[in-house]
Amino acid sequence: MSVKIVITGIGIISSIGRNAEETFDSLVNGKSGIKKISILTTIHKDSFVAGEIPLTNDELIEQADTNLTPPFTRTALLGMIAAKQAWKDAGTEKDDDGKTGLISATTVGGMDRSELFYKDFLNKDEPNPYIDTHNAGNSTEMIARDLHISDYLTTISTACSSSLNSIIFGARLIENGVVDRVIAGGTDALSKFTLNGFNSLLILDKNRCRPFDDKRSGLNLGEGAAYLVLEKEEDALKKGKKIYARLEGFANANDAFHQTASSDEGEGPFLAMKKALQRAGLSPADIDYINVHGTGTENNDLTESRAMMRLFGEKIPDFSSTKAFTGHTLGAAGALEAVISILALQNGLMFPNLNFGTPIPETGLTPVRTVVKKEIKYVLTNSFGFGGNDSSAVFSWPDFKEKKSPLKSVPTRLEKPVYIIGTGSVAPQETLDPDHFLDELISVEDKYLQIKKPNYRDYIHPKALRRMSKIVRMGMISAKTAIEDAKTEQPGAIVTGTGMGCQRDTEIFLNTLLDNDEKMVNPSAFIQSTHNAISAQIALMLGNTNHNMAYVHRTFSFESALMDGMVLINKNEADNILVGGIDEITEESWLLKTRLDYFKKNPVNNLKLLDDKQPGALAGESASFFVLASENSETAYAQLVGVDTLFRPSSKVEIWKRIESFLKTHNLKTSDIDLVLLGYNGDPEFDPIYDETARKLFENKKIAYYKHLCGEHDTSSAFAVWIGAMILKSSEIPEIILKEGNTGAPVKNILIYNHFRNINHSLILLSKA
Amino acid sequence: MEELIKQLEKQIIEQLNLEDLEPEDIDPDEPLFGDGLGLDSIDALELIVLLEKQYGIKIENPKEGQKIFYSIRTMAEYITKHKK
Repeated sequence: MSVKIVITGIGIISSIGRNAEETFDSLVNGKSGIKKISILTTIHKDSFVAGEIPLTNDELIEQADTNLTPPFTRTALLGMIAAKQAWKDAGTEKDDDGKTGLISATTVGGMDRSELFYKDFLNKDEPNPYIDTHNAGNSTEMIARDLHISDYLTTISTACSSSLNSIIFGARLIENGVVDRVIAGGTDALSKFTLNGFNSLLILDKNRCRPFDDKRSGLNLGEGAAYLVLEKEEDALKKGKKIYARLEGFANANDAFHQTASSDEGEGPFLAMKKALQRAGLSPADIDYINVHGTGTENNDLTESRAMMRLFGEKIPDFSSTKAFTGHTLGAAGALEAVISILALQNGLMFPNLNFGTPIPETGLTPVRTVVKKEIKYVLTNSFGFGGNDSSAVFSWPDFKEKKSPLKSVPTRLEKPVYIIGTGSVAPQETLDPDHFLDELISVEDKYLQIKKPNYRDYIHPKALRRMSKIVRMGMISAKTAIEDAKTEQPGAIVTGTGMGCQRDTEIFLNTLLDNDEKMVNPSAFIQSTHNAISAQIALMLGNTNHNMAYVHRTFSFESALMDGMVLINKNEADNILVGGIDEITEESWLLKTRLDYFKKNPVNNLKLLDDKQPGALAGESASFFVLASENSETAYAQLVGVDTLFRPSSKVEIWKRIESFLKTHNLKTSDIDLVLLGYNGDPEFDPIYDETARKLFENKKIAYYKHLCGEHDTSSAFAVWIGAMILKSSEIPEIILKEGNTGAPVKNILIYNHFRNINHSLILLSKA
Repeated sequence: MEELIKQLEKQIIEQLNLEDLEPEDIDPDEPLFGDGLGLDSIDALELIVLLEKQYGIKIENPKEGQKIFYSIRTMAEYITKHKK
């Protein structure tokens, strides 16, 4: 790593402690948090044990010590508690220089409340505030508001590796100069949804889990949250901050084998560990201790063992799984175990792998079984998730007395140009026919817009198709189209953004669960409900083992995916990156959002959207994918110049200043913009922000809009990028998108500006390639 | 037994969303997994749910499933033996 990154703050809450001190105390005294379920209401409370935090939500609110007001989900409360600890620990509140980012992770977001109120959401026509806390970005935004972070925030959801991926993305943002420090981690509360989901997969142990034991019979679920403060070593030393550890290396790889199981030889886990060591410039022999993923399932522990044997050969480092202490905390596990790894490093101790008796005969590996003292210089931590999403990171305790080589200053914008060399879109208009660019319009009068259904079998094998819900199909087809268009065989990374993820699968699973009183629920819908299901399915289709990520932060989701792609290219970590944004509309999700007046209740003619006076936006859906490359070519569509996000601006002036400074970063002025693509969605309350912005900054420019063609959804900006890329390549402007100005005069620079309800604002800048 | 086999074929097509298949396309003696119908481990879990939902038979250990779900016929035999 050119920029050295260190950890200056830690925060943690789980069933074994409300902070780092209590956690450490439990770890050294062998005190497991896995007990009878007492807080969660479930018919399974006497059948399964879990790592539940023995505090009610009211007690957690007290613990959170916040000025924010309800509604609070349990997931958000846990996140707020742990994040604030890390924040205070690092003295971040006193940092008045540079930019601070918040990268959080969760698997099921606000499900702990949604599952209590879901039938009310559906049946009672009232604005239940928990409808809007369901999305995965909610807990992140609560933390951001509590800590007053607004420079950069996003949410990752890649199943059980989620929060290690937040640490990885946070580190990349610092390396690329996008922010100066980040608070990164994850949070997940125990829920009936996950308990029943894992039960339907038959991988829950009824007793305390036994990682790496021959008789292991599954995992225990847990809940918790953990966060790290990451910053540049240079800054931390200059400010005299206490340093816990240095982040030496990290990697994400995809197993590309199966939706839930690891391949026999643990290819993804092997690649993640190997690449993390490579990035750290270390050899396997350097690792002193591994905090393994070790869930206690038959498949994980065997394949993780094999992956370790492949990488480390005869000399497998000391290792242990701490999941028999905390249970599997899903989206929080990666950060939780990163904190535990740092505690090991700091204290020169390895923590026991509880409940181990007999080694697995095929591998014969024995983990660390008691508290063992050891000077640890390098610790490796693993987190693996559904969809073959595998991550590893290496932390070290460096000798800060050694003479350091001077660091180069970091640019404030990404230096390397990025080009869009392939596109694919599935939307409520004809977008798959390369000979047409929005010239034959589909006009409908409906309560929401749905995609023009492609013939799925032309793209996807019927066998694979049968288990895919609409959103996965949309994603696969647009991804495939973009890859073929770019003539790329194997993308260097696959990155998706989705605000709400696989809503239909989530609804099916949740409804079955509630209707059948937690009995006989279907595993398929649970598996598909994970937010990274689409990026995982694309990896499976292509056999692609590279970096695979899913960003899930409301209308920042696609923008975050673009940022990930751009920073990977900027540091030459990958090329030909597949990036996409996907969201689907379902009858239930539409109905719920009409309760809050987010979506319009009555049918609207999409081509007359801006005349409609009903409150809310016209809902819709789309999937658009792009191949990003570092090299320009004759067939390139556009240059992706930059992307920026703004959270809860205090005024319109702040938005306008941000637009100007964003353009200035890229050496442009508002007068250089030829066409502005605005996110008008027909909401009479919020559309005036676009009107005023156009008047204030873009007088006499071409003003265009696009949501009458795709409807409002979190990743509609991906469809806007598709339109922008098509305009720049074809030099044609479809008449239907123009609000002001004409189709004449060439277009060189396009600015896309989108916001949803004045909360999450985003800017994307495209130029002629 | 033959009636049960026909019923199972229908139920499996529905539960596993095998849109392309008609009950008569499935040979009751053909393996459901691997080379035969090509089902996978997630389908096996769905079949466990099917057994419980339709026939009140509970399978706790997924390993047991391998023998029971070898073919439609082995499933039918198991159901006949264990049906409550």
